[in-house]
Amino acid sequence: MTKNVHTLNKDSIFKGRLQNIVYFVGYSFEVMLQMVRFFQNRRIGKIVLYRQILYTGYEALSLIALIAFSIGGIIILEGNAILQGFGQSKIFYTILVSVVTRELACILTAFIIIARSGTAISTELGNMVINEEIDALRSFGISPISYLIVPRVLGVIISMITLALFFNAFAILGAWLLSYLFYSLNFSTFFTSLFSELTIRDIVSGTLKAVAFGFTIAIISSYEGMKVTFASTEVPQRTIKAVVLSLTWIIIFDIIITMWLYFI
Amino acid sequence: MKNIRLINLNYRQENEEILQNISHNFIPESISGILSPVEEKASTLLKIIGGILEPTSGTVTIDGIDLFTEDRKALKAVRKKMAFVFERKGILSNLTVQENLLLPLDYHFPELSHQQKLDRIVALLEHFAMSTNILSLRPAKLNSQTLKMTLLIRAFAMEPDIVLYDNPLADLELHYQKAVTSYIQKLSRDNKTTQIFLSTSPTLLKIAHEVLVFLNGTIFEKGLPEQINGSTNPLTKKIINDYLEAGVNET
Repeated sequence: MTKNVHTLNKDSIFKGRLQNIVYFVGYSFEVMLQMVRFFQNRRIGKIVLYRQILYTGYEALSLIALIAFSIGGIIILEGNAILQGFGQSKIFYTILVSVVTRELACILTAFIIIARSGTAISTELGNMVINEEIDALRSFGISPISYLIVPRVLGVIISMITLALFFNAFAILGAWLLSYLFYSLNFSTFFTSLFSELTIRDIVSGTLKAVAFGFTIAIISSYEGMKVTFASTEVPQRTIKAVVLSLTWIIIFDIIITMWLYFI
Repeated sequence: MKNIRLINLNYRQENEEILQNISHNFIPESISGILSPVEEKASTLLKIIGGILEPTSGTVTIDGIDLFTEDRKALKAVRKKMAFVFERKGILSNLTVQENLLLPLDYHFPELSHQQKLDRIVALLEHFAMSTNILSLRPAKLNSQTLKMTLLIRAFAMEPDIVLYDNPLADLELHYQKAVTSYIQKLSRDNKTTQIFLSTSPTLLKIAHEVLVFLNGTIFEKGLPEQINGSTNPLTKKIINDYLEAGVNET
C-alpha cells in the first residue's frame, strides 16, 4: 500500500513537471510569435517597452559603469603584476579581451539584470494576477502576452545588449586608465594592441550571449510571475524560483555558446 | 450584438466543480440579475460570460460567435461592444486613472482622437458629479468608492452593447448607488444595452427583468423578480431572507 502511494506521488510529481515543461515551451513560443506581431501593431504596448528600457537599461547604467570600470582596472593591475614576472606582460590584452568581452561583460550584466529587473518583473506580474489586472486586460480583449510580456522581453533584450556594450566600454576605460597611471601606457599603444586582439567572433559571442541571456531572464521571470494563482504569499516564492532558474540557465547557455563558438 | 447564450457550461478548479452544466439564454436588451450566496463562486460564471476565464467544457456565444473558438478579428469586434465591471480589483496599478480609462478606448477606438476619448470620460465624471482631479492620480491614491466609480466609468465610456457587473453597487454610498442604478436603467431604456449583474442589492434586483438564482454551481431557479421574491422553494427563500429581507446591502 505504502509503495503504491509512493509510486502514485512520484507519478503525479513527474506528470506535474512534464506539464510545466510543456506549458513553458508553449508560453515561450507564444511570446516569440507575439514579438513578431508587436512590430506590426505596437500602438498599445510601446509605452510598456519604453518604461522597461528605462528601468532595466537606463537606471542600471551607473551601477554597470562602476562595476565594469573597477573590474577592468583590477584585471590590468593583477594581470600585469603576475605576467610581468614571467616576462609575458603583452598578453594581458588577450586576457582582457577573453575575460571581459567574451565572458564577464555578459555574465555580470545578466546577474545585475536578474537582481534588479528579473525580480521586479516576476513580482509585478504576480501582483497583477492577484489584483485581477490580467483579467481586466483579458476583458478588454487585450492579450496580456502582447501587452505585458512582449514589451518586457524586448525591453530586457535591448537593455541587456546596451548594458553589455557599456560594460565593455567602461571595463576597457578602467583598464586603460590604470595602465596609464601605473605603467604610463599611452592611449594609442593600449588601444592598438587591444583591438588587434579583438576578433569578429568575440563581438558575435558577446552579442549572441546578450540576446540569449536577456530573453532567458525575461521569459523565465515573466512565466513565474504569471504562474501566481490566488495568494500574495506565492509572489516571493515565484520570484525566488525565477532568480534560481535564470541563474542556472544563463550559466548553461554561456557554456553552450562559448563551446559552440570557440571549441567546436 | 446583444444575444448571450450559455450552453452546457462546466468549470472545474483544483478538483472542485464550480459550475455544473449551466445553459441559459439571457433576454436581449434587458437587465438580468444573478442572485447567489456569498460562498458560491458566481463571479466565475460572470467571468466566463465575459470571456475572461475559459470553461472546462461548454460554450458561450454572443450573437452566435463562440467566445472561445472564434478567430481574433471576430472576437475583437465582440470585445469592442462588451464591458466588464470588476467588484473591487481589475485596475492597472502602474497607470494613472486617466491612462486606465483610456486603455480600452485606445485599443478599440483608434479612429477617435485623444481629445474625443477624454471628452467621453470627462462627460461621465461630470454626470456622476466626480472631480476630474482624480485623472492624474494612481489607483493606490483612490478610496474604495472612487475606485469603484472608476471601474464603472471605464465600462460606460466604451458605450457597450453588453455590460457585465460584479456587484455594481459595492463600496458605494447611497447617492452613488442611486446614480449608478439610474444609469443602468437609462442604458437599458435608451441604448437597449444587455446588462447582467451579480448582486444582492434589493434596489438592483427590483429593476431586473429576470433573476437567476445561482446555487450549488448551477442555475437553481429563474424567473421575474416578483416570482423569485415569492418563491416557495426553501433554499431560494433562505437566500432572499439572508440578503434581501435582512437588509444586507452591497457595502
